Amino acid sequence: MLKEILTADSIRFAEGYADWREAVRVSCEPLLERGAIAPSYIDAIIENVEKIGPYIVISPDVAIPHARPEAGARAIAMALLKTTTPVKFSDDPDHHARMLFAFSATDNHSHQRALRQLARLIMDEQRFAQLQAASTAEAVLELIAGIPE
Amino acid sequence: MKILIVCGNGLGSSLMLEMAVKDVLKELGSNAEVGHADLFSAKGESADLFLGAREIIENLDDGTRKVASVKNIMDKAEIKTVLAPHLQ
Repeated sequence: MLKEILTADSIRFAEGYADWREAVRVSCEPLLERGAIAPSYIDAIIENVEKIGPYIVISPDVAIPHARPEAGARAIAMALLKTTTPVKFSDDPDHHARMLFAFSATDNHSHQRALRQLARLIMDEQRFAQLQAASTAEAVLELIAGIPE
Repeated sequence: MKILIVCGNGLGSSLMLEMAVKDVLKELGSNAEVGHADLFSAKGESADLFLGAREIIENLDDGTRKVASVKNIMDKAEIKTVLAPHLQ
């Protein structure tokens, strides 16, 4: 499931960003290009983080920029932006991330299998270390293909 | 016992945390019921414990409900430490 929604051209690499808002915008670009989201979806993500706090940083080094389906999601899709220097969502090191998995879901259920797979990948220490080290889309896709559905 | 997992939108991190929590509950031999909700609907729900990431729980903690938070929602060891005292 994860490999169907996270396509090779949606896995991108960058040096880093001084501003987390810009990083979130860039992380969502592949979703925009695929027509999976409307521009309003990105604004909603940024607004939510400003309102609630950097809750989209879910574990060390990993953020999952996303908003509610009604904010402008048109299809289930995922993109990965990997940066060399961490994106700082706050001054707290717990809120720094070098992997931004932006995703869109059209309801509360259909994307669940993909997110469960992503959770399995993050909880698997060895695979997660390989993901952190991966520097090509092919390497990322190979890791994803190895996670049980 | 009912545990409600709370996140910002009710469909991303709460789902991932719910998965880790269910793994932990199984390890602890608990049969607690687990559900998930977004921050705003969680305010209108009842549960024996509300669990979520720190920033979320700070927004929910108004003294009217029992809450607990984790820093890393994918860290089963941390989740176990946080949940265990509530399961007694």
